Amino acid sequence: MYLDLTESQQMLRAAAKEFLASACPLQVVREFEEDPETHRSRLWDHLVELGWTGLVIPEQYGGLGGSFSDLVVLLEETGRALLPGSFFSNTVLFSLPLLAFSSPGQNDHLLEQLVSGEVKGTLAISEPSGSYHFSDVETRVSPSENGFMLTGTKMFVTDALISDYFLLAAVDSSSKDNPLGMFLVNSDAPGMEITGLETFTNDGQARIKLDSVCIPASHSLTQVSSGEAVLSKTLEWASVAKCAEMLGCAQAILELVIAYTKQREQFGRPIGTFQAIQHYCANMATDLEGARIVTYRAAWKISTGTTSEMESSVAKSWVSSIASRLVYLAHQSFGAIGFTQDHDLQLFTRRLKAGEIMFGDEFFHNSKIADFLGL
Amino acid sequence: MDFSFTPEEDRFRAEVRQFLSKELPSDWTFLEDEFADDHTRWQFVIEFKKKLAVKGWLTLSWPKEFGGVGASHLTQTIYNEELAYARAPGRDIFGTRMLGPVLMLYGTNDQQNQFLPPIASGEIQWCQGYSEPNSGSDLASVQLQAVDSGDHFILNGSKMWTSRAHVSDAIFLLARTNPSAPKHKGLSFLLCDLASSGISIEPIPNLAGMHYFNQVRFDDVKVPKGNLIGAKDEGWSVATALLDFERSGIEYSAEAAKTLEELTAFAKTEKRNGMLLSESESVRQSFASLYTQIEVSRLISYRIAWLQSTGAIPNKEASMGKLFGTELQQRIAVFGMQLLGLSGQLTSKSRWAPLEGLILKQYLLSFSTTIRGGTSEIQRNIIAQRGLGLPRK
Repeated sequence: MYLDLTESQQMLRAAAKEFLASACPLQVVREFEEDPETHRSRLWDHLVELGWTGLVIPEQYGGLGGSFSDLVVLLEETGRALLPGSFFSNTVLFSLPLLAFSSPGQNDHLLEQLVSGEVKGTLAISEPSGSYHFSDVETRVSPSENGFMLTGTKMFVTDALISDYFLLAAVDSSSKDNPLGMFLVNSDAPGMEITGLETFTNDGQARIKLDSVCIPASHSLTQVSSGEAVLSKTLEWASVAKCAEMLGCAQAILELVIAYTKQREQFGRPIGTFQAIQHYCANMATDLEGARIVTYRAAWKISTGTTSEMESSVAKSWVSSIASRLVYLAHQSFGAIGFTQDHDLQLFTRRLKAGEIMFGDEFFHNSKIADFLGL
Repeated sequence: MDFSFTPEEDRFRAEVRQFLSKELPSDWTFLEDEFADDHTRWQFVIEFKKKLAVKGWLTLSWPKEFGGVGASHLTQTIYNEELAYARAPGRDIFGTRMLGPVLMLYGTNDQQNQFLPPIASGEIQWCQGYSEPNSGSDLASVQLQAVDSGDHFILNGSKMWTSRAHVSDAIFLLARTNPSAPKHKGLSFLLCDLASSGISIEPIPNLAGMHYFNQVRFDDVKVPKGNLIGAKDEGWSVATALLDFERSGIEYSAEAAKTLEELTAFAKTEKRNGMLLSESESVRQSFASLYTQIEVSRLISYRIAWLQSTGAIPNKEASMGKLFGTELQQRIAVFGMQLLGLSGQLTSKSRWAPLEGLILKQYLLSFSTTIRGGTSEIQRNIIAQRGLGLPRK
């Protein structure tokens, strides 16, 4: 047992902290949110330079060959800084499954391009039902002249407007065994219509309408594993990665509360001396202690390649469940000022809530855990 | 990070598990609070404890120089986890985990030679005399008086909520030796034979009807000077020293895991409204949520043990472990009672009681878990002030 970061992870964390503090102050987060069109690719070149786009991609493609646990360390920091842009979708939702499920040689060039930052990709699974259940995928795939043809509607596709590729789920209703397929689709393929969605974090999610979009046969990502396997692993990794981001975000919220309640005075003393406030903080810190350890345990399981679905669901269930409690206690501690747009707290509040919703909330993962428990 | 146990640790866990399945009757359903409730049962507990002593497990964490095994905190945590999961008796918190380390740190050679071996062999049962009728969370306010009288002290006053005093041989306690000093400065740490003249022990039955707590009255009780541990008037430092005993709180999640498994089996066989309880989505959600919380509690405990194994003193984390683990036990007890429905009212004496009345016992006892051993309020104060640096004033 060794329950601390490795030396190289500590260096990664320190470097990330330093970079994010200077390149991504909260003013940048606000500018992204107010005008995503202008700022969308603002920090991208820096991230490429730092090697982040290749963190989890092996050295043979130009990457750093880091583990999933390394990625979690980095995501905790990007979550703390509320790093906007497509780092999460490009790395977690696209690079990881592409790397894991491509057949030998299938996507070598694309992996190199992902490291160099020339191309970006993201995941397109959810549909108007807003669900992560495989059975809710209705986008159809059928054989076409040189490959496949896709028709349907995808919703809540993160960073769709700046991505070059989508890893997209579709069903082949003529196939009895493995109806669910996963496909690489170019964003500029004829028949694609991408429309931005107005979400409460203005984080660049989009709706994609596919009207008889044709892709080559080589763009199927289910040559090695089944579509369900690709999708379930991708979603599992995404849920744990999202936990890491949320963890950083929640830690930042707690630190804001501690700093504020130490200096804000009422009744002639700092409100942080009141037992009610101290106990709010103790509750937040305890929830967070649990969140950190379940997240890192799931990441360790994933990194070692052992069965990890249960541990991952436990992590996302817990981190999702503490998110709501934590933000309410934080707002209660800040009083009226925390409810304003000018105050930074609301930036964290909305993103933590978005994280709770993404890749399965507490209810979704509890259902999976109950299945694992044989209930 | 690496969450795995070494092969030796896994082997040790298997050995403890095997021992427990062999030595513990299969129908053993008693909880800690009722061990001392019945003479025959307590005799079994003592004998069981002696078997653990023979294995060397009672003093697993004691350094070799004091006759212990010198096992790591993680090994100790594995041991405590397995015993708690089996609801086995023999975890001697007062003797091996509290008094032992105090003696190693503050005792003279003579005191160590006199008092440590009978703890290690399981012969002498110790109880803890800290709380008093007017001293609960504010422990430094204790009033039990110890007057210096030549070669001994004379004690007058009383100790309260003294767990198992009625079946113990001796008590370690905090007494006021200097009434004029500030409250933290006038206390001494003393050892007292419960057979001494002037001691009377009265039961305080708890709301579950069990006899675990007592009030211990001292009426001109003589305690030899040789039983003073540490310096006179410095008992507060002795009692609150950052003792290096295992404090992961692993028993909370271990006990909870066992109960959740029993409830799972119940839910899979009991029908309500035409379907199995386990088929109801709301029941499934509750099980999953509690399972998740047990995992959180267990991992927090492992982290505390691991931190201790590195030489760190995880104060904040230990408070979190106690706070979270005990509140979790309450949530499980409430859920268990919900699941049992009307049958939840049946006591262990009823032949129709599901799970031999265990859930009801746990529910009734659950009110005390967040109070004893440092209330949840005290734990939150520690987390906020010592852990997060919030100001006291």
